[in-house]
Amino acid sequence: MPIVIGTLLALAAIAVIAYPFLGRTRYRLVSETFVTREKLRAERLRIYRKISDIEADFTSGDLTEVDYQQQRDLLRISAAEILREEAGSKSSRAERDQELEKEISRLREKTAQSPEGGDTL
Amino acid sequence: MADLGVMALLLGMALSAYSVVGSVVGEKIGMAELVVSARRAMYMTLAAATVASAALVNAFVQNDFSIKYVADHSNSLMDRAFVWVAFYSGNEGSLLYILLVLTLISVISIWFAPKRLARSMPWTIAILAAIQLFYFGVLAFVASPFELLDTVPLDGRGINPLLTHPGMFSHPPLLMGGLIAITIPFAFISGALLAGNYGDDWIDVARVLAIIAWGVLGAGMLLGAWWAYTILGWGGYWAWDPIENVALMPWLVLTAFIHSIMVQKRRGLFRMWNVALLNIAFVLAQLGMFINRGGPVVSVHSFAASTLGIIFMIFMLVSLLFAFGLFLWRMPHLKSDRVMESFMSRESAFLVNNFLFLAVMAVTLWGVLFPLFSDLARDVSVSVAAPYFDRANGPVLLGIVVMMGIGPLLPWRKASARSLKQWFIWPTLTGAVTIGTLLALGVDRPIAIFAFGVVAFVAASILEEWWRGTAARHRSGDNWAMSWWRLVNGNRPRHGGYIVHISILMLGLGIIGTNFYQQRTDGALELGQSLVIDNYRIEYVDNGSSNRPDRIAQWAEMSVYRIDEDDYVVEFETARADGATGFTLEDSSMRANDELLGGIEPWHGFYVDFNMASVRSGIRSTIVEDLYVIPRDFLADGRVSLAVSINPLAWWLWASGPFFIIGTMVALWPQAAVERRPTMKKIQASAEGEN
Amino acid sequence: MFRVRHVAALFFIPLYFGVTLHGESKVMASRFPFVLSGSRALPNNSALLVVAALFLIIFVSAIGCIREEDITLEQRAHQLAAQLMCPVCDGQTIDGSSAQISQDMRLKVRELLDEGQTNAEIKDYFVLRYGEDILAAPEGSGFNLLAWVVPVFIVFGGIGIALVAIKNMRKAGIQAKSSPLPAQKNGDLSDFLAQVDRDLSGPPDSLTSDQDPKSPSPANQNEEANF
Repeated sequence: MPIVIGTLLALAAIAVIAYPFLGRTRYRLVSETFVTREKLRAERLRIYRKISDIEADFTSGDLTEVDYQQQRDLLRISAAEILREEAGSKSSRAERDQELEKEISRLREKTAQSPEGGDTL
Repeated sequence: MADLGVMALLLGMALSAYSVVGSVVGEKIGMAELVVSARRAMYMTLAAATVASAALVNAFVQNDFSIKYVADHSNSLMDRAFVWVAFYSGNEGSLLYILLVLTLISVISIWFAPKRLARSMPWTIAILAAIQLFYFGVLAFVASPFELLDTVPLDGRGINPLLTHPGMFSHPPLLMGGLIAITIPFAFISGALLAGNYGDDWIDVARVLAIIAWGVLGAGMLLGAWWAYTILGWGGYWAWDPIENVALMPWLVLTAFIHSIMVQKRRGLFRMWNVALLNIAFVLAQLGMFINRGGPVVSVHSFAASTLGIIFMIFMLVSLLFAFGLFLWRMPHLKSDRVMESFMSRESAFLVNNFLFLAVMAVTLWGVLFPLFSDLARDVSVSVAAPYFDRANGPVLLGIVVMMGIGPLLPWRKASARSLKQWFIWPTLTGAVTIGTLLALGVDRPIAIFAFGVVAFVAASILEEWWRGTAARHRSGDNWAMSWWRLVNGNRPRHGGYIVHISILMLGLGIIGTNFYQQRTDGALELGQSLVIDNYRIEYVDNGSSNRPDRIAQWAEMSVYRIDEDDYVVEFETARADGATGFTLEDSSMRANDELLGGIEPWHGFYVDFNMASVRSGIRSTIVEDLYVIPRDFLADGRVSLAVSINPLAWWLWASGPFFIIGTMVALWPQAAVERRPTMKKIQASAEGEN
Repeated sequence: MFRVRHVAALFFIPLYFGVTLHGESKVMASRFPFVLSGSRALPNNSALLVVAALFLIIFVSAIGCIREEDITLEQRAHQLAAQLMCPVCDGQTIDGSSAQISQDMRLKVRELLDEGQTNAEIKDYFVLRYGEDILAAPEGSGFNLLAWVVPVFIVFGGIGIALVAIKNMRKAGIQAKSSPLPAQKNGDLSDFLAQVDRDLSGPPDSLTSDQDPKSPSPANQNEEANF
């Protein structure tokens, strides 16, 4: 009985790790553009967080009005710059799509050789 | 069952190896299927570790004594509830438990990793899988819990009696889990560095993961102290034993890390420093594993020394080389761009506090290793135990508590808005008045009085901070409770931190009280006799015993009275002349002002198979002091030999636990970048009105 | 009963009023480690110094009233027992262990105390019989001194490094400040600034927690993002 369970476990493991190669879904590495956009967004949220923090500091009396306004403005400008970058990366989407096409065709060529490789894309 | 366990371990080993290679190769050649497949192999290692653990637990449940580990750590009489404890009570099982935790938290953290770390995740997975590979390999080939016995014994040896305590259900698993959990933030940061991701993207993830490891480890140590206090029967709770020290050291470094990561979050400073701290914590955790597994240092807790020691030493050295090699390689990319403006700023206070934490860590490490150096250099063995660490670390720990009060009073960047005097005056006054009051009351022990003053200073600084923040929000129209709640909610990491600080202060009270003001006396009582210490009379009323196959248990029923010293003038005089702290009364009849407080039942068990005694102290706890009665022995002549102590403020040690956990949870609770704050305008308006 | 500490306590009350009355002048920032900041070393209002001095005075005066004689012989026996290791148990002192030899050693300690021996003499007695590792903390000169000297170096070295590091970072900060702030990069940011202000005024749908790792992302529709 234990041997059976063990064998089943091993088979399940093999199935799970083999599936990405054999299954119908195609994968590709996450693109730099996508990662960059995620990073920019996270960076912007971190700046928002900092702005919330200095607002709290100002409310509690840790910051003078002048310092508060100055720091807040600097942070707002950095956030706006990041927003602009984000917008920029979106507009370059068309270029990215072209790259994508190339990648896909490369993958097609590869999978055409494997009998089970579906060409769903 | 043993076959299944071994199969699962071998499978886990293969999967981990595949995951390491697949992740790295897949990422290098850009083969997405391989990367995905390697990640899923990682998920399957959890299944393998779970099946192996289930096989072992099942063997315990079925009393399968053909497995050596089961025969060594349980018997047919063992309460089934202790199967969980027996599972990790030995060397091999605890390694399997550690592996189970490692696979579980690896899978969870990989599953929930933010998308912006996508390109560094293959590296993170490779590091985690490599560490898992090590554990799977050790379990499969060196320290297998599934080793079979040639001749199957009729019954097992039984569980170590010291472990049959509720605290054992959580203390060892938390401690081991916390130590291994340090691996996860380390793998995330190292993965990012390997992938060339040098920005601040890993900050939030690393902070959350580090706080989880830190909180689990801290809770584990506190529970261990509580267990030692209630069951080990030596009257203490922290012995600076090597095993305690190797858990404390990474915890201290993590504490430094979760402070300085806030500086990186807020000010963009200390990036390189934070990476270094996490590396140190990780390597120290490996040192802990090494010393725990037959390392060179004598300890109460350590598992039997074996070849395992060498294997873990090699693994520790490899970890060290990898962590710091990677760090030095990537260091040029980790420079922080921004700079400090003032000594009087929170970031500089954080830096000083960081170095103090590292100093305690380094001194502790020095103390742990000194006997080895002495052996090597002079061929003379020396002991380094509690008295050394108390003296060497005590002052620095007090310094850390002082910084705990100063840091939060300083604003970020530079102290321009706050008039420092205005902010420091109330806490300082509170501290000084506390010291003055204690001196005037005639309390002795100057160092302790100073320490009490420091605790008061820090407590006042936290309250002041809360008071000011709450008052500012109160002015904008909310009621007081709501204002405080919003203050805490507005910056959970900071205010969660303050709650943890409060728990540390409570811990501090307990440590000062028990270290400086403990009173002890020994005595042997016949039935009907009493022992008097300070304002307590302990009367030996009755006793009982039971013979179980595994143990001989005896207990004493005792009544505790509060007495008036005036009723016992003669006896106290005699005792003082003898130089004794307490005295024994032949005649237990009540005197005028005796007042019954309640009963205690100290318990003493002897485990024949283990030739080991286990005691439950009789403890009568109040927030002022604990009366703590250790039954050392039930003597042949019918007397019970007692060690009695009064442990002032010991209650606070354990009361700090809930605050520690709540504070950690608050600090960890996810926080939106921007909150809905409809009254922000109002707050601004009122703040302007103030000026 | 009238001891030094009572006098000391009385002294401090007026001192504190002194601090509070020291009204208006400001404590300057950036002058915390006084020795490190050169000619501007002392703040013109010495409130901080007074506070520091205060703690020092209390501390020193309090040390003056240690009452050795109040400790009973039994307490001293316990304190000594906590400094002697149990020879047969791993890493326990005789105070905490219930082994037979520990009980015997505790009795011996008490006996020697009753004879009027000093703590040092009693420790020597045990070192002579059991070797140096009977002491729970290394004592003496020579190599053992290292055990105590190294921690001092570690602590003061650590604090020193921290202060120097802050000082250097500050110097860099002053230099950075003298160079003009990076001007706004070219281009009009006003649209984006307006967006920032909209974001800050309340969470619109697109904003999710920065710590929520499961934040949905638009690019994740038909591909499995691989990480």
